[in-house]
Amino acid sequence: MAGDTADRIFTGTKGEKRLKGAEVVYPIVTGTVAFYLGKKATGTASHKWTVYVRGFNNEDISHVIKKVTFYLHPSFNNPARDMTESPFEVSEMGWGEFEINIKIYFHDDAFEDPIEILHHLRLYADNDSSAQQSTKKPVVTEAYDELVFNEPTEVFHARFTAHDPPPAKESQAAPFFLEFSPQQDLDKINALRRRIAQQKAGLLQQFEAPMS
Amino acid sequence: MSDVKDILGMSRAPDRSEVQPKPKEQKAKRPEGMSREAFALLDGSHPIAPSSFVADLAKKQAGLKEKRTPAEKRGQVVWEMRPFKNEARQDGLELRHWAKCLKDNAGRVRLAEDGEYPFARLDCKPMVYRHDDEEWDNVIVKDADWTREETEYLLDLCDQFHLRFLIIADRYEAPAGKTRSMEDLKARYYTIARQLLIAREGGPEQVAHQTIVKYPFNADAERARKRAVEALLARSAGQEAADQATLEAARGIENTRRAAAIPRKQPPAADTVELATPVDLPEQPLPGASSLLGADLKPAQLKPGVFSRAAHMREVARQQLANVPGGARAQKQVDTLLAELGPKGEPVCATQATCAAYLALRADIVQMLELRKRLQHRQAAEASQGGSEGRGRRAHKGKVPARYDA
Repeated sequence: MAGDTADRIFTGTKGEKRLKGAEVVYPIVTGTVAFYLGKKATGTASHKWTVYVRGFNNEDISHVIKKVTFYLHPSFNNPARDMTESPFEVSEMGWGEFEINIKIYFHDDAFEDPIEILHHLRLYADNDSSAQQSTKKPVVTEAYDELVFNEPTEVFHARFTAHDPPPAKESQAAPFFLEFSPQQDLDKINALRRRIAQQKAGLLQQFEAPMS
Repeated sequence: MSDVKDILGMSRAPDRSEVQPKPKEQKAKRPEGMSREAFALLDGSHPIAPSSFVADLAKKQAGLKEKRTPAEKRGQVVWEMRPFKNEARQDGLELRHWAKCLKDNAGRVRLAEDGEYPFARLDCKPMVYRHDDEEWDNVIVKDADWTREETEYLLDLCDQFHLRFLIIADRYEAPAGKTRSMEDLKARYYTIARQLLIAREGGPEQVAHQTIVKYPFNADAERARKRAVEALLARSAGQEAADQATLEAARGIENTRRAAAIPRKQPPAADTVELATPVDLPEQPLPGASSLLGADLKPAQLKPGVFSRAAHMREVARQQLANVPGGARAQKQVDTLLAELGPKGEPVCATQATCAAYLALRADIVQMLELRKRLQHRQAAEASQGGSEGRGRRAHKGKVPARYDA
């Protein structure tokens, strides 16, 4: 996941020194965990939910991320919630599903603009609001993504490669984090690729041997 | 211009040598029988040569002329009940029927249809082969079942009923104790006819082309055929349906057998087939190149900055389809195929490897859909071509009025 040693150093738009052809790849997970409140549910607050950004291995991500702003639905008070320290998360109570805009700010030494990730808050499993909801089992939606720093600054790259992040502060939602298996994903994609290639080969045969 | 002549001192009389008589314009004459309006539609470019249509007109005129005269000259039409004779009858029976007559001032005459009774010529008798005594002794093979009397009785009936065996079989009175089916009668008659014919012509080779000789009557075959036809008629609706189903199944089996008989290569097994784009896209980004891939599956040239791999992959995926003609339908087809990857049709983890493989997959899908479309077009073209070839060249020309078909 670390970038290569760079060939050259060049100057970026803000006068910072960047490493040509280098790359820093940082996997993160954005997610929501929603609990049904059961008997305590009211009309306006039927669910309790948390939106968060976490490291892929639950490590502390504050060495890369300076601040995260969660833009909630305008019906919330102060819909823009800034989190400047780990765990980068917001917990709220509500009744509706909406898109949360997660804006991630990086440290100054990276000289990077913030990046936005949209995450849809899901309160109901299977898109069916009448299904049985349990107060114990939350509805968890997580999205794996990788932050690719293309030609990062020299300073950031140095700091990043040197840093060994400690585990993150325990989040409320931690017990419900999902597991990801990139290898499984890759296998599925390649299996489908093979099937498509097979179909293609079949079609090509039909082309070469036309049958009326 | 007259003053010019004045100046020159020429005479004012018109110069006749200069003015040629204009060639007289030929005005086409309307042929008789053609209406004024129809004639006005024609222009003078085609001379109205004596063509069939003029001949038709002449005929029509002739016809009109003919019909126009009888009222005065031929007489009034009267119908009379008149006796007549049928020349085809041997018994001289005289019957009566209504006949069209023309009454003039004095007498009556039948219309031009006077002559042979028109239905007399429909009485055609087939040739019945009869033997004489000598032939009975020498030619005809003796059959234990048939006495001479019975044979002659049969031949009489054949004569009388013109070889219509249905009637003969119905009227036939078999001798006591025997039953003669139609096949028996036919068999006996045709055997005799065959033998007589061969004997009279001198040998089997001379008459080998004749139907009686070429296809001797096969009584058993006839019996079997009639049984089959009756069975066919007697089928119930359910049986009919079952028979149809069996026929369909047989046809289907025939088709599949025919299709299988043609040697066809199997499409290669899934795991042996080569992927168009390499499976092992580099795990580690190559030195100096971004790990984010562009639409051409090569490292994208990006500005320095931070990117979300998932977002970038979606953008590139969208670009891949932007180049494909077919728009929303192509998009939907791709989405259906990708649905098995996950709820959003995307890889769950957007790692470098999965993103690369995913974009390669999309490229392959696009190619495959393109191939499929081309194949369908080609098959459709072949099918329509085959159809129109069957109907002849004129099918291409659209509507050709049936009258002008040669």
